[in-house]
Amino acid sequence: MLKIRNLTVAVHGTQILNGLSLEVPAGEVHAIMGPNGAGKSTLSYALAGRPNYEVLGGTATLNGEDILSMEPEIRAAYGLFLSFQYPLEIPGVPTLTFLRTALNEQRKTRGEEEVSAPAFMRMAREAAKRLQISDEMLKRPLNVGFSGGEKKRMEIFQMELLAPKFMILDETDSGLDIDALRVVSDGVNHMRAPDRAMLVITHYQRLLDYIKPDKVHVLVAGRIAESGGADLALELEKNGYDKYEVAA
Amino acid sequence: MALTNALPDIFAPTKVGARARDYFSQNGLPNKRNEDFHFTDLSRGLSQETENAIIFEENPAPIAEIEMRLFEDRIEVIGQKIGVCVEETAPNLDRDVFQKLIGGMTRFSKKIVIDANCNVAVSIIRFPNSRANIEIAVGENATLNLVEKQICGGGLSSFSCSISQAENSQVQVQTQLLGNGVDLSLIKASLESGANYSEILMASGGKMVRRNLEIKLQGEGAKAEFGGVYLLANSHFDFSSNIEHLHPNCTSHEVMRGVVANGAHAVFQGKILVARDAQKTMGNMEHRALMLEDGARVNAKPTLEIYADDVECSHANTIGALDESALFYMQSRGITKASAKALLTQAFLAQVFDAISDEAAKNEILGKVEIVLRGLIK
Ligand SMILES: Nc1ncnc2c1ncn2[C@@H]1O[C@H](COP(=O)(O)OP(=O)(O)OP(=O)(O)O)[C@@H](O)[C@H]1O
Ligand SMILES: [Mg+2]
Repeated sequence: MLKIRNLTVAVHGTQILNGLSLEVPAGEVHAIMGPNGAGKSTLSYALAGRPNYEVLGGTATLNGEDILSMEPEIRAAYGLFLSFQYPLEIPGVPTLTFLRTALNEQRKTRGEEEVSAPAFMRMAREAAKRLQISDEMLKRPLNVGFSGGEKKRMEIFQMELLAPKFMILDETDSGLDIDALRVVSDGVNHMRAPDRAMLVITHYQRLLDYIKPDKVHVLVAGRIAESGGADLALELEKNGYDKYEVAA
Repeated sequence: MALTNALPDIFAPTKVGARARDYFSQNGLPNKRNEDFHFTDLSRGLSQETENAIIFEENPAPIAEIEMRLFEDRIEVIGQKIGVCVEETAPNLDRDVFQKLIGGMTRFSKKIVIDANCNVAVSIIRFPNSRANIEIAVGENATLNLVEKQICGGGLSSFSCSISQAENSQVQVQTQLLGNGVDLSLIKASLESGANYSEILMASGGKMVRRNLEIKLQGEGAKAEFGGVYLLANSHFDFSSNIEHLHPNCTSHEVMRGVVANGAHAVFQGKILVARDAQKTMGNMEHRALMLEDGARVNAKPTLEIYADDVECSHANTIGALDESALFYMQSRGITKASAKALLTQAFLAQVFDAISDEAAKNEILGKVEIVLRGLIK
């Protein structure tokens, strides 16, 4: 599904990713862990196409298509979704207006028919119920004045409605209280499917208790330092990243 | 220095026009040396050849009980109502050079008198090249819903509207400045106690467009509200407001937001004046502009002139660009960059009308804003 080879990325002229390679097959969930500043968010942004994240070398393909040459909105229509570590506030644009525009623009790009307002409302209400998002929150401008945890829940709400193929969750667990963590994890698990895959970036084993990863990768200094099974996360929680820092 | 030979042929064949011609041949047309026209050189704008106006809508159906159609060669009055009478008048505009200029250009003048307790909707349709003056006297407890629409088409036009509001009268104004030529216009209102004035405005700018808003709050508890938006691309719009608090316990609230694309020039000059005995005044004024592209220019000059000591007055002024991170966030959800810009811009402008209760007028303006934005954002 997602294949990254030798990806080298500079942010505002500073090289952050140094030949990173990674493969996530369809149906699988992979976790990425790593120290602060290792380049985890840089990887997410580079895959999503953020301006000023310059790809100096390497490739990234989703189902065989080169995503790095696509505009960000085309990547989204193609099935890529990034749950932001720090979701942005969109003043004056009501959440549902924003999402209906996003969904219909994606569908237009894919040559599909628009979703009507009533059909969209039904979808939205159902997803909101599952994620315990109130009607009042849906009427407010997207993320404006939301708490950190509310913003994260809203990311997963968006993800459910847009139904992407490949999902990157950048520290979606940070800022969530214990109940919200369960609600969000249920939401994420709800989306697991044989033709979908995801990359879960986290600092905590806690999330991986709910969302069981098929593989865990350790990202240090802009490349994958080690890959292993779900046990690797437990080991990292115990021993930290010292051994990689020295090696790097 | 006499500038007679440089003076363009803009004055009307009226007594006021002749006086204005004399005055301006002595003093010259207002140019950048005049503080009020520092950012808009009227003498240049008025001296340029104006292209022939194109008239798109010859005879739209009337939209109000009384409709005044201002043409180059006449004023047509359509409709009538008990309690409202329309009379002839002559412009009485002499306060400053701008008023003198507009007065001198005025070819036709009408006065509308609205009786006490009467409730009337009036529309004023300004066709290209019209140069007219309308006076409106609003009686006690009367309500006036006024729409001023400019039909686009270039040319040189001028317009002045003077409203005098008796006690407890209500005036709601919706203004659409959509001409694309040279246009000078002025709206002024004086409010007695308990009177309310509320205006929403949309402007697309033109070759040279200047608009003055002059409010005098001169009775207990009078209140003025203004919310305006401008959307400019390759056009010019100069908005100048002067809100005078002349009596205690009056309120004014003014918000203007605008977007400028390539080749546009926006000017906002706002002044709140509080006279010495106008205690307990509440006055605020806000101007925010969004630069969509580099090749645009915005000048803003807010001024507070306060002679009373127990007042609450404020002003805010910002000039910024769209938030790039927000744009990327929206794109990452599948929204094209152009739509993302349009959504953010529309939201930015719509906030001006948050406090406006006239839903119909608000929706009409926002509908037009959306259409103009589509052309503005690439
Ligand atoms: N605009 C920038 N200019 C230069 N360096 C930058 C810029 N943005 C980020 N960086 C650097 O890139 C490095 C990687 O940052 P990144 O956000 O990818 O880390 P991370 O692994 O997600 O960390 P965390 O766990 O704290 O979220 C950091 O050292 C950061 O300071
Ligand atoms: Mg990060």
